[in-house]
Amino acid sequence: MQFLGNLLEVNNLTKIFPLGGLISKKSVTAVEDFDLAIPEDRQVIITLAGESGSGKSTIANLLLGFIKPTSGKILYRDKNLLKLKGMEWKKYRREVQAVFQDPYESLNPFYKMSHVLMGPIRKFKLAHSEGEAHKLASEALLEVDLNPEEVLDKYPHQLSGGERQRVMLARVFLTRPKILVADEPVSMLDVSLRADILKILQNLEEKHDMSCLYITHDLSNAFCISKEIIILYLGSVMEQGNFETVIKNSKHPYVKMLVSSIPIPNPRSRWKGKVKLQEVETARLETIVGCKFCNRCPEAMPICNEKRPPLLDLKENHKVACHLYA
Amino acid sequence: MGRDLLTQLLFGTTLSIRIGFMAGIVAFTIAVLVALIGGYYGGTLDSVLNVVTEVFITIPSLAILILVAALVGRVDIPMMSLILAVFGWAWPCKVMRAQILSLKERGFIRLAKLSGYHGTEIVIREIMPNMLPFLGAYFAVVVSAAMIAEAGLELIGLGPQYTITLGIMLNWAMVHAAFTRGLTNWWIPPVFVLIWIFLSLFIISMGLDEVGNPRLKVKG
Amino acid sequence: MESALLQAQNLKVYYRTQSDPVRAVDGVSFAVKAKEIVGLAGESGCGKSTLAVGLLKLVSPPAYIEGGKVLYRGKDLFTMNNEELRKIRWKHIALLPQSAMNALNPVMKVHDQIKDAMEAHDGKDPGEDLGDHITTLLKSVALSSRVSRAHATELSGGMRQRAIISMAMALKPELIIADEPTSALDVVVQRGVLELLVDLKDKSGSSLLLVSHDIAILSEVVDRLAIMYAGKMVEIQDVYDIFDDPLHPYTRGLIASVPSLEKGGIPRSIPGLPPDLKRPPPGCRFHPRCPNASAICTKEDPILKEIEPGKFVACHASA
Repeated sequence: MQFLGNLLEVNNLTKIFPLGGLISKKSVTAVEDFDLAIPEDRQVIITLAGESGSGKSTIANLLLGFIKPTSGKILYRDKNLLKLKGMEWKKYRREVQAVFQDPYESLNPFYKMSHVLMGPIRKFKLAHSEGEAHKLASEALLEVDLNPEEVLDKYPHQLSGGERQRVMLARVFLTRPKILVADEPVSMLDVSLRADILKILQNLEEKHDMSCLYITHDLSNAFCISKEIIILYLGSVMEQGNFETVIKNSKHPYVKMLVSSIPIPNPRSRWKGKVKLQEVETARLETIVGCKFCNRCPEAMPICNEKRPPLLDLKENHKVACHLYA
Repeated sequence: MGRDLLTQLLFGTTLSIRIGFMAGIVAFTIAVLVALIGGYYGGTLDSVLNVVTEVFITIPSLAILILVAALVGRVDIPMMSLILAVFGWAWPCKVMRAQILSLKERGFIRLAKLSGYHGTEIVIREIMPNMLPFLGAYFAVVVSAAMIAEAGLELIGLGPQYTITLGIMLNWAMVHAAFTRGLTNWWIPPVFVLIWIFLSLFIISMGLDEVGNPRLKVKG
Repeated sequence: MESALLQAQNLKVYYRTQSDPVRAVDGVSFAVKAKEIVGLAGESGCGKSTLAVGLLKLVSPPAYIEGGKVLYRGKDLFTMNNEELRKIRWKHIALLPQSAMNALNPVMKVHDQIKDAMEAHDGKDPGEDLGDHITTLLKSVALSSRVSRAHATELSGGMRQRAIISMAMALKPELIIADEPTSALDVVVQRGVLELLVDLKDKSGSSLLLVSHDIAILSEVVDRLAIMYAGKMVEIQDVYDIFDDPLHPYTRGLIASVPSLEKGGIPRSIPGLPPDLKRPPPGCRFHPRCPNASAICTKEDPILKEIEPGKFVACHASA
């Protein structure tokens, strides 16, 4: 029976990390009221963008089941992630995979490269014999333009960063997930190697029924393959929607500042005006009651200090969380 | 004086090694289990185990050892090993736990979880191999420490008196003032053997380092 | 070049290895004029960072200066003795190495570190109270005086970088060489730091040499752009000219390979990989990857020539 709802649905996801020892009661709200929906019937690459401290990596960890939410729900195929057991849990694990920023970190230095591919083959029972397993692994490596003979028997330190990340993507080909959480997949790679990785991700979306949550701080790279974007700031969504709309027609003051600061390789499209830098560290531990961007916002109004702006619908596929548009 | 030093050496060495290894293996096993359970699974269990470990570390083991040995009077071999083990597991355990805690955060653990592996499987498959070089070194340390403690106890006369160990040989050397009388062949052979055993253990642990760290194996 | 502040002539910096030396900078000539911002771009491994430290003879083993000259206001830095060179460094030419912001001492207050640096290069003046001076310095990089009492670990990346910049500016150098000054910073902070560097350069009338792999960032602020490939300088032009009409095939490939919010789609990367600098290919080092390579490219290494005033290129096709 075909499932026609949302593959992944996230509602009001919030994660608060307590700080300090037994006595201190301080905490940091890494993610607040985050919503997301990835449909079953089509493929999307959604960019989850934000600078450091925006909470994007925390969201990745929550969606992958590595940490538990403080409140809110993550539903996989309409079932609460925390309550998945047995076959349903196995299915989730099989269908939701990840690629991380540092491919070297993701590899166990004790084992050869074959280990990271054989793991899922064995656990997900993708092959019925050693021979078949080897064949699957080799095919996956060929999909990412790597020569199995040159890779499978090597140790992680013997390969380059680009090759290691390709092996991570070969693992994705192997597991054929429905959703890939890609956390800064190209940031640690040389600029000249990034295009190839982006091509592989695009290929996975177009030809292998895979949706991708592309998490990054670098919008220029994401724009190459993604058509949807969610922009986070200090744990809250500021603006989201069609990528091109959000870039060319930004509404939120933070997003305007962010987008205008992205360097364009064209001296005739230079930055206009200047940005203002912070003079002192603002303590993130202060509980901010109103809008999180309030103290840096050039268009702040009194209400911005008092109430959190709700995420408002502007147009077709364009939402912004800002009192200016209430 | 008519003592056959070579025979003494041969018997004494084997017995010392036996005591040392028994103590070492028991201590090591306790240490590894406690470190793994506490370190990987965390939570209240870890907090409790951690406190217990710290307590055992702070107890001045040698003092207790001497006290127990003196109180009991005659200490036999299994008891000696047990005592040594009870006081030898805590410190390596703490170090191992720290290592496990840091390994737990590594990226390949996340990937193993994504591949469907769960707790125990991850500990065995991913964490243990990375600890091999350290495990080897710890084992060498624990056994060496046990042997030194044993020799030390016997030196001051608190060991099993009815058999010959390296420590007993040193005790006799001391009792007969071999050090001051320049009777080097009373005490140099046992000391030499002890040092040799420690070195061998060390070299074995370095070998394990090569197994555990592929970078040393392959010139890449 | 008469008005050149700093001029490298055929500079060679190699790295010793167990086999052949790595020819990281292999005969590079270029100049930085007064009051200008020059960008030095190239992919990682092209030698630009080695060049940056080589200009000030700050290479450490296994790197060594194999040959060439670096003239500062006409004087050869490489023939000076250590004392003279030390005076030139920091007072006249300041270097902001890569990841300098991570080199701040975590257990010292920012104030004390700036004080140390100033005293080391300017000599101690027991009467002078550096406190005010340092506050002014921090203010010039938009940091409040509270920062001077903080430790480096309490500051964010952008603030640490600004503190480092303030240290570099302390003795009012005429040339600042900054190697990847913004690589680990957030987008908005990156812009702020670069705008700050340009501002400081304008106010003090100095020059700026920015080294980066990111030509998008460089195109935002520089006057001239110099492109390096595999240890060689392949093109130098005014930044507007170089984007309008790149002369070297590598420059063309480089510009086309940068993703941009102005165009969509995945950019075309240059096929192949940069060469092994221990044994670079004969002739032009780019020829294995060049779409326009011809017979002479495989035999003769092209020299950087000024084909028109201000336009330098090392390519047989434009000779």
